Amino acid sequence: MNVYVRAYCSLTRLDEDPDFRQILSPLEARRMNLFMKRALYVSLETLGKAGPESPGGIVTGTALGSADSTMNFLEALSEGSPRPTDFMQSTHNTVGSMIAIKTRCRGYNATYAHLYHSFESALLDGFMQVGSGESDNILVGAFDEVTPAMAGLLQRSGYGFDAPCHVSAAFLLTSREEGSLARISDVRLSLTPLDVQADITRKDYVSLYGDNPSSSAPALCDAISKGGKHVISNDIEGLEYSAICIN
Amino acid sequence: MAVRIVISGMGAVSSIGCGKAGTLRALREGLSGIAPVRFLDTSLRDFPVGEVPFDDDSLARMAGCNPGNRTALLSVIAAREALSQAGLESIADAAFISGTTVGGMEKAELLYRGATLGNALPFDCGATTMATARALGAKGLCSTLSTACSSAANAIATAARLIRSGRCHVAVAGGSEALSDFHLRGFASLMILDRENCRPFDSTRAGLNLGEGAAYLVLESEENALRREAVPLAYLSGWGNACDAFHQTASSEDGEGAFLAMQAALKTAALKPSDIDYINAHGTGTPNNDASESAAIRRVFGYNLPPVSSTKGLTGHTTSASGAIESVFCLLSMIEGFIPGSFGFRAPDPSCISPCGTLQARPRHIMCNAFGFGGNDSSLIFSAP
Repeated sequence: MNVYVRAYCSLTRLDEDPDFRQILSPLEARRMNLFMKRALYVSLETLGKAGPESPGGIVTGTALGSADSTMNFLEALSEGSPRPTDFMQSTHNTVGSMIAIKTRCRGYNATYAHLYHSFESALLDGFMQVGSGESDNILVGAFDEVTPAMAGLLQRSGYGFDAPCHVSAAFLLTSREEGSLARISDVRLSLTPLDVQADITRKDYVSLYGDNPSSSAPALCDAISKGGKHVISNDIEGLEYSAICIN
Repeated sequence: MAVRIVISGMGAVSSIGCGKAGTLRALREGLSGIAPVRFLDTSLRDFPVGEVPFDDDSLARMAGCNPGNRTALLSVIAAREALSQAGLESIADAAFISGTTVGGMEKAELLYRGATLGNALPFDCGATTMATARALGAKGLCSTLSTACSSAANAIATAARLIRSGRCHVAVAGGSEALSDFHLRGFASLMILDRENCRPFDSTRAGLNLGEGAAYLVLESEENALRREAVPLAYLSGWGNACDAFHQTASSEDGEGAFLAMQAALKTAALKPSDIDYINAHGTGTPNNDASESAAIRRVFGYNLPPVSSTKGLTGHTTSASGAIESVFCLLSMIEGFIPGSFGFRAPDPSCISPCGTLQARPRHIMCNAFGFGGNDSSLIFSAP
């Protein structure tokens, strides 16, 4: 399986937002929340680096999607006037389809919402399709945001998220084309511990980006920028295990 | 030569049956499961729904466990039925791929009504899959597709790719969705719910009814099926997905996404449109979906339309689970040699295809469509062994 990364882009700072007017009309900007704008921006930046064409397919991963939209809608349920926009945007594949609309990409489109392995699931899908020759290139990305409202809810419901708010959004263009930035040699996911020697583990990138379900996505971008061979594990003890191998 | 994907087991739970026997009877006799709300905790009582006719405690007794939310409960019951038919005592060596969007939203709703849930009761999509995987005893690859109403169809396609790539020999794939106040009122806010029993493709159709349920297929490589002498019910021969890239909730007039998805599925299966003997349409009953899907079907099949029907007049729209539940309907249709009627259809609409038609012989190739928000369009093809 020869799967390469042709371009990547990540956003992990809450205090340094790009100028969204570059990519969005005022009407689009009004309809999207900050979370969606960030994810869309990172995806379009990634494509911009690799050429203007629309990708062969778009695969996204997000554990909780636009959680603020979900929470707005839930709150409005008890107050009586829930907004259709919040309902629409609460759907996990909203960003994936928004990218498709923006890039006129009518190819494969999928979204994985699988806890801490939403990104690994999306990457595995892209890896299999590019590796088997089913697609020439696939845009793969993940995004999750922990906002103040969400941190409160997650704590109330017993989730072990840490308190600070953070964002992780990262995209990669996977491709069959050689001479790219890195080669992905394997993506593995399992409910049983994997027998791999990882040089980058979850605690490494959690210390940088917070306990965000999608923080392994910017961690992969970092590893690619360093160059060389890396195994990035994302083990959630007692729950699920994964490894991404690049060289 | 690409690995052939055998289907060796299936299980389904919906408003028309908890298991295949009841489901088959309701499909044959046209018994609709759509009725006023009985179990769902909601203040919105104006719209009929297709509820699985048991409360959570009864479902937990059937499942022999309570994995934490209704979506997971429905999953466990349907997946167990599939595993049992496939003759698999354990799921440990299989991948488990599930589709859901609402997950355990009914638990999240409780948080907003002042409840303290104490320990982490799972409510998001991935947690719902994990709770199911644990209850079933899964140990291998596990993941969750969340592409709204095409989630389960996409989960089945991902499972097929995992088997073809050699990452697993067996996969249990499908989807589950329990009704929630959240999405009932979400669909109501989009103004696409019908106050009567829905009427897919009918000239008077006025929207969809929400339903709930779960279904799973056991998929395996042909080599694996032969080795363990499993009886193939059918093959999963085609799968395709495309994005309409038109609007977040509406479908394009010419049904471009649906057209591309059906074409992609035919290409994977190496079949011609004329090979398809029956299409189980997405056919939700909304004016927009049925017209758009009809345009797409006409573009793919021309004037030689095979029989088409929508079963959503019986079950309601089971959203994320619909692709898997209707896959089971297609397989029952193939095995038993009948076409489920389009319950609710009476008067043709010039902008739509007219459902049904007679079956000349036992169907050999059946197409199953599932389309979701975001223009996420998927099509699967099942072929007789």
